[in-house]
Amino acid sequence: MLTIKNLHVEVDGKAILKGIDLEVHAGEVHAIMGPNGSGKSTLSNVLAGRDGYTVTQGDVLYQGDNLLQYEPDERACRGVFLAFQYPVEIPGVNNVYFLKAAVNAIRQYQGKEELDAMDFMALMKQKMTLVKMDNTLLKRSVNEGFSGGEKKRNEILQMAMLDPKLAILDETDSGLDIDALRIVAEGVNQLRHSQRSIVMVTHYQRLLSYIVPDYVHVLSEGQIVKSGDKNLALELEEKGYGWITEEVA
Amino acid sequence: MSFQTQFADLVAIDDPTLQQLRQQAWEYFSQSGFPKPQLEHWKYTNLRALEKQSFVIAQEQCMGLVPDDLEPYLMANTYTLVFVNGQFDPALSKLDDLPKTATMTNLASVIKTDPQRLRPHFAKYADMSKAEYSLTALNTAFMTDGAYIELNQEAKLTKPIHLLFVTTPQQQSISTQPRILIIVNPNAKAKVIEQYVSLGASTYFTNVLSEISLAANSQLEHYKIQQESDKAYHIATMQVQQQQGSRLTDYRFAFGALLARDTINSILAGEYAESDCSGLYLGQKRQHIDYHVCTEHQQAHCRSTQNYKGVLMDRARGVFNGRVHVHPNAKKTDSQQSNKNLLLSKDAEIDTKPELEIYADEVQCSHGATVGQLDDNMVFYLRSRGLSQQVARHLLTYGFAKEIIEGIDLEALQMMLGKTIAEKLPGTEQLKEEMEWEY
Amino acid sequence: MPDTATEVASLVDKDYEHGFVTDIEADTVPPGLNEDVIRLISQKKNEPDFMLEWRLKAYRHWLTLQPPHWAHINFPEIDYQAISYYSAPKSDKERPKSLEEVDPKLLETYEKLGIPLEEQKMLAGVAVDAVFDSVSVATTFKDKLAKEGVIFCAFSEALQTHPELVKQYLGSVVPMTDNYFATLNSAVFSDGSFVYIPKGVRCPMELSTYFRINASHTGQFERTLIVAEEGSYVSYLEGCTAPRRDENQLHAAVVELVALDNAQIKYSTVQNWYPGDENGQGGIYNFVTKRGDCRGHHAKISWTQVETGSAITWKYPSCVLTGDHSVGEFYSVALTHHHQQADTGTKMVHLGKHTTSTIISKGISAGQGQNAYRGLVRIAKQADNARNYTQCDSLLMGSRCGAHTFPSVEVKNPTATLEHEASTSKISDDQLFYCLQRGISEEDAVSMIVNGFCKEIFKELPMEFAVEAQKLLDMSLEGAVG
Repeated sequence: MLTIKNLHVEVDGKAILKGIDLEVHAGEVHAIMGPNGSGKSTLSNVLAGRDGYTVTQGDVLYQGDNLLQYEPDERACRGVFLAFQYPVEIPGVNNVYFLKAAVNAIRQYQGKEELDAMDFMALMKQKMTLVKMDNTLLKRSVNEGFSGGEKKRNEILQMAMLDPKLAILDETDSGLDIDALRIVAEGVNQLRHSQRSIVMVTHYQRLLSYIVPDYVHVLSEGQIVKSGDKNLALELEEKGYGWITEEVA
Repeated sequence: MSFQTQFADLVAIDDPTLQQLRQQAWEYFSQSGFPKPQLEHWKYTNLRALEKQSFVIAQEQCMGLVPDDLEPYLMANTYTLVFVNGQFDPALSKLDDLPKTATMTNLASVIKTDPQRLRPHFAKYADMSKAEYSLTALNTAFMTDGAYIELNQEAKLTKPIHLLFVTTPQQQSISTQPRILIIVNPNAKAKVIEQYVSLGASTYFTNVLSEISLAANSQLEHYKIQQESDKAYHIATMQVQQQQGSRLTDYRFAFGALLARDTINSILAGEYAESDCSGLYLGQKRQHIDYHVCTEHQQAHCRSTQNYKGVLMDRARGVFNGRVHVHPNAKKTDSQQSNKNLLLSKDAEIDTKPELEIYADEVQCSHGATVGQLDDNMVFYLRSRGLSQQVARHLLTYGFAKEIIEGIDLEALQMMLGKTIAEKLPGTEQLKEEMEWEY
Repeated sequence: MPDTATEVASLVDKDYEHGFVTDIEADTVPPGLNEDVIRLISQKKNEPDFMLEWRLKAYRHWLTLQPPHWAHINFPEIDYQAISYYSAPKSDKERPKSLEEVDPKLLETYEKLGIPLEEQKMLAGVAVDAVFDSVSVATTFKDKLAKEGVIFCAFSEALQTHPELVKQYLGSVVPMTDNYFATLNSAVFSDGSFVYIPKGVRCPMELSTYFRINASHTGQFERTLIVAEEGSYVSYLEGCTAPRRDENQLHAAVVELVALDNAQIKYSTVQNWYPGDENGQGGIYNFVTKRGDCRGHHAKISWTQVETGSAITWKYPSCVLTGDHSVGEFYSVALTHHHQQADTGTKMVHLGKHTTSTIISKGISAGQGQNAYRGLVRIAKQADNARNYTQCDSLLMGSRCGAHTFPSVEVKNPTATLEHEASTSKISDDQLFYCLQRGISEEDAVSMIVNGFCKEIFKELPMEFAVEAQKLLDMSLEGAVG
């Protein structure tokens, strides 16, 4: 599904990622953990194609194809989804319309027929129950005035609607209280299936108690310094990040 | 300009007081002429092109207009006064089941039948002696008709009043000088929609003057929608006098005209008065749109907001001058001013002056102005959801503009405005669809 | 802070500290202005011909101008024929070669002002070009600067020693026809400073000039020109005080800065001219034209000013951002008390691509003081990717003062990003009460809050200036509380 080979990335001339290797197969859930400043968000942003990140070396293959050649919207249309750490507020743009425009843009790209309003709403209602989303949010502008939890739920709703093959969840647990975290995690778990891969980027272990990963990688100073299964996350929780960096050094 | 020769021809309309007023106004205008760019308030808006044109005063009513011609503009569930080329047209108007607590009629009929009634308010608020207000003088010298609206104490109208000013294609370029007087007596409440439309693409000059008196604890929601022909000149001046506890909500939209200038002066002359003014200007082609908004806090405990947005395309030029003036005894003033602009073309231009003039302490005043492009984060967010760069930009531009209408609680009007905004912006089709989800 | 506060307390109702008159026989031209006076000024200074021609041209243009009335200030018409346009200490005839030769009375004046040259030389490492009324009388540290090729001298001296440099740059930033006061200055300017930093040189010390208006009825018309060649850096400090007089005195200076490729000029002013008394009698009219041109790419000009003095301040230190990637900055604290009026701000004219400007203005109004920020940010059509951030904050103390903000923004390029923010407030009762409850006196609390309000600007000043600025602020605010 996703193969990252020796990826080096600079931001404003400063090297942030210094040789990442990662292999994600269909159906797998990978967690990427690391202390602040280790390059976690850079990785998410590079995969989604945000401006300002310069790849200086290495390759990213997605479904066997060079992902980096595509514009952000093409990546989305090819099934790459990024759940933002800070979902953007867009005043004046209706939430539902936005989602419908996105769904249909992607369907069109994939050669599928566009959904009409009726079908779209039916699908929408169905997916909304997944994240216990309130109907009133539909009337509002994209993320505007949403609470932290509502924003993250909206991200997962979008993920459910856009039906991606590769979902990258960037610090999805940040700013959530325990109830909201449960709802979001439950939503993500229902979206796990054998044809979809998920890469979770997180600082804390707590999300991983709800969305149990197949693999855990530790990112430190721009490199993956340790990989393991879910037990690695527990170990990190107990000992902090210090021991790994020391071990590596 | 042939105003001089035409003034003599203007049939003096009875009442000597009014005659005297006209004479005085004509003297002021003759002295100053059209406002010149040397005047600070006209620095960015040059009326030379307007001055060079010649216009005839519209006197003949355009006959033969039927309600169907106005269909796109008529609103359901309103009291409607239609003015064709500046003159009231009773046949096109819709004034059935008028409440007893309110008067809404045309100004000419009041001048004719009951001029005494005008005395307390008419020409009492708008200054015409200064050179920068010479167009107020021009209106006063030449006005013949317009709207007279008065709400009795405690009157609360359920339906909005729609003032529709229509200009029809003419042989000669015409000028109209509509005059509006709105008097809201204590504790009364009204909604007025003032709309300017053109049935042709002709050149003409509208110079409207509105005077509004809001008595204690009265409320007025006022909407002004300017959709003049794209060759028209539109000058609008609104003078508002507010007493204690009164509240003004003003929304205005500039969609049309080659050159449009709106001046709002609102005077908070009683304590606890509130004034919320907002507006949107969408400039295309070679349009020049100028909003001058001044709020005078004369008394303590008043609150005001000015919230204006502009989108400038093609070779359009926008001007915003917002001014909040807090007088020495206006303690506990709370005032916020905001002006945000998007420039969508390399030939577009914006000049903005958000000003504060404060002579009292214990005030909270702030203002902000921005000029810029769409937020990169927003564009990326939309693109990461599969929308193309272009669609993302159209949608964000529309969202930027539409924010102004979100607080409007007349749903039909809000929808009409949303549609009009969408039509003016790039990516129209898409945007119209967006609207359907909204309502 | 407690130190400053104690000082404030001891200074209550103290008179203007710098109000004394030095009794030196001055060589003063009788009041009045005509071409002969200009010829006389030029002749007394033994100026090259081009200079006289320039002055006369400016004078003839000035005769066609009307005094400006657009600023937010009120003052009686100035009688320009009642002003004397030249005043030099008699001892000028034999110029002092060193400090020892300087008239001891002059030195004493500086002592009283708190700027002993000797001490300053040693302590602060500051070279001082002291302008006493109109003629420079002492310049220090010349040798050290000369080693680096830095020219720092009186304007009149530069006309003798480097006429070609003066000719090349004079009037190239502020044209002689620029405005009423600048034109008047161009015709009659007396003296000022000239600074030239050669290519690649980082000026080894802060350059400083103290201006002082002394003789009664003498308008002071300095002219300062600073040229920073490619890749050079200079920080220039200007401090101003004037003795008290009952008449209003006119001060119409012109400052021109030129920064070439990668050059940086930092210009700091602490202006404490006599503000007039608490009834609005007397005080300086400070009508100054200051402008810098970032002529080269990546050039940077920063203006920092602390304006506590003058009856009327009318100045807009500006930047013309001609070079691509050039940067303009304006940091200002303006305080008006009693009947002082200030109309000050800046113009940032973006002509080059990727140019950036920052404006931070803090206005404090007390008593019946009127304080206006007036600014213009203009983005020209060709200035792609220009950025501006403007912040104007006003603090009101008392119910009879005023704070005004008149910004103009003109944008002709869609790639520009501009942000303007402004707020006006008073020191809140909550803030005061909080301080009082913690045992801090009202006066100290106000001083603390005001200094906090200005902190962003003070940190732009060199250390010793920042301390002085803070003291000045406290002194100027005496009696403003309650």
